Amino acid sequence: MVEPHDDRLRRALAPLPRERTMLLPALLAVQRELRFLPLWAIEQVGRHVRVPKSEVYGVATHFPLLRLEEPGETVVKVCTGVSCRVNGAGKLLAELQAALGVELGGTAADGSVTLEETACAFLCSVAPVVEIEGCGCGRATVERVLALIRERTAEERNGEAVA
Amino acid sequence: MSTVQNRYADLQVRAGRAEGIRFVVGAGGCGLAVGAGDVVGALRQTVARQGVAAVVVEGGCNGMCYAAVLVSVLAPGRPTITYGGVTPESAADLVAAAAAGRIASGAAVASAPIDGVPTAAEHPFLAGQARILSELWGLVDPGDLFDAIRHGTYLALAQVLGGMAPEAVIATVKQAGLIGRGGASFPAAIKWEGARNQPNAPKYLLVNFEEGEPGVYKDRHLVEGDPHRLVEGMVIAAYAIGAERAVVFVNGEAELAAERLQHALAQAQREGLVGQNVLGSGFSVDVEVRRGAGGYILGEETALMNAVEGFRSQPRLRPPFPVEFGLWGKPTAINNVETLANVPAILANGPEWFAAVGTARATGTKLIGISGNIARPGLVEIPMGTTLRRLIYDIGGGVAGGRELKAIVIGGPSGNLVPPSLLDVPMEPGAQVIPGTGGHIVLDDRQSALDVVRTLAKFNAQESCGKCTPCREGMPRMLAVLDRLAAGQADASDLDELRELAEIVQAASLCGLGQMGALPIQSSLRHFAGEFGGRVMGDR
Repeated sequence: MVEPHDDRLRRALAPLPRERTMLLPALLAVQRELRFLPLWAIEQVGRHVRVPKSEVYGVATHFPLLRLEEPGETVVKVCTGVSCRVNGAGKLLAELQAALGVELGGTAADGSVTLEETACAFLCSVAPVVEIEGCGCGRATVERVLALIRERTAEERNGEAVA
Repeated sequence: MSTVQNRYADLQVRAGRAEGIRFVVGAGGCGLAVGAGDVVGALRQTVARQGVAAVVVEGGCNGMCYAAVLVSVLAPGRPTITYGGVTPESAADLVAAAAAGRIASGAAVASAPIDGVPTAAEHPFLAGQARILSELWGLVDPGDLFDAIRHGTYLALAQVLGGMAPEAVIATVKQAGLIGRGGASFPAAIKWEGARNQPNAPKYLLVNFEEGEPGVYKDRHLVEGDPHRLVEGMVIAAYAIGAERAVVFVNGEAELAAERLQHALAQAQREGLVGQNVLGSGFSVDVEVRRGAGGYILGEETALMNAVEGFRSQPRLRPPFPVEFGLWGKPTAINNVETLANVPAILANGPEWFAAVGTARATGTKLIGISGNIARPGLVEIPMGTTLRRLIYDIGGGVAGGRELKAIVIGGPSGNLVPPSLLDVPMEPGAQVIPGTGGHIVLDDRQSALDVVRTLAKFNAQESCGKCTPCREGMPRMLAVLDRLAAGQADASDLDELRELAEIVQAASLCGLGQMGALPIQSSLRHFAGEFGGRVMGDR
């Protein structure tokens, strides 16, 4: 669990100069550590780069990749841009929703998977594309995507067991 | 020879010659998404097990994404052969074949005639291209500065720093006619000159690698495949402008390109090609990589400056223009990745050579991603002035499955739906068919223009930053009309409203997102009116 005054947050911010120009790099560094930006972290980022927390909040809510809520363990993004749509993304999305039992934009009850759509994964030449925690899966089929999600979940669990 | 040229010659000596066999795997974003990582692993295992003197390189994609996973086999004294459709299973035979000097199955193209494998000049996908920026993709090791130097990278930089005044660099690029590749087509040298001539200092170079337009992935391909070409172009540009600091702003999701670029910069810095006193010339430039966090508006140059300064990425009013009042109020030249990547070749080969490619109005080449319902999706580099017919049919192999062509979406949410009647118009900026930012999506006869336009309008409505009213209010209103049309609930007055809204949004929006955001709607109302009107009529 993430707690206020987390050491990880301090470590993430420490290398960054305490200037306003570092606001976006600071938010990205914190999100890389915590997977999202809780309000207390937004306040600490503001203190670090000397920007009022209201303005930090404004920036944090402006950029689509910054998250204010904690996502599931594995974020799956289905590309529904034009190239993927005309290559079967709609059907793939429906199949994934059914197989995972998660609505678009939702997280599985056990917190394992969050399912989202993206306007482009920028891998249009191997459409349709699904991103699993930022790793692209091209010429995607529902079977391959599910296998990759299982692989990633297993790795995460093993990683935790070792740690 | 000058100090600079001596320093470069030292680097060339250290680079030496490539020895042994090199397997360069097309491990760009596209290749990795279809199993290139497993192919790298299988090749390395086999090389170790068979005891072959060979290295396995994680390279970029040469643009033939349709044939991924690609592997190029480079062996001294033999033509380079590029294989398509390689799997971990077929990797073993590839190694055995290379060791025995024979050709394995799946050979797609060869660098010289050998046993009936087509050469680039004979290969339908490659024959129509003019590969300047892409010449090393899939051949060079993007992770090794010395491999780049073996291929001649940084030679132009050494020539420039060894004896060319910044004004002469600007004059050369001006004579070459290089125009910006980020969409606005502004002459690069005029921008540099503007920043250089400002009395204000310091000056900055801001490299726009935000590339957030759906359907456009050309800058990613370029940097994943040959990052040192961009670094070299950046340093030359900074020298021409007189910039002591450069910021490269990389899209927040372009992870692989950002990693390869950062690695390339660190190597270049270590060898004195970036940073203090470049190649002993006395010229210094610090380069910093910044990352984005999504949002199409971020690619708008003034919004990008706001993000760098620590604000929301919303556009600024122009004038003042960035060359006068840019980052932190200082003169700033903002260039697209592809624009800067052209610079080394212009200086190495001369402006006449460059101007001979393309058309009189638009010189050089354009990188274009071709995707959608196309037989050979990939990333191509074509001379400016190429027709859509040549691009889509000759190079791209036509519509997938031999179906009929409905339209080509050029430039995504800020672009046009182009009908087949315009297939033979040469593409260049300012013409009836423009190359746009570099993403063409082919639609076959099963696709609905209305559905595509709705997808693009939904994107624009989501991405509008909210700063100016016409875009913030107009985009959702246009989407609502399109929704009514799609649901069959529209009447004739809706089409009038759509036309009127589109005109207002185009004329009155502050930045390009709004000004160009109505283009897909306007172009499809012009060319595919039947689809829109048909829904209305059917309801009566």
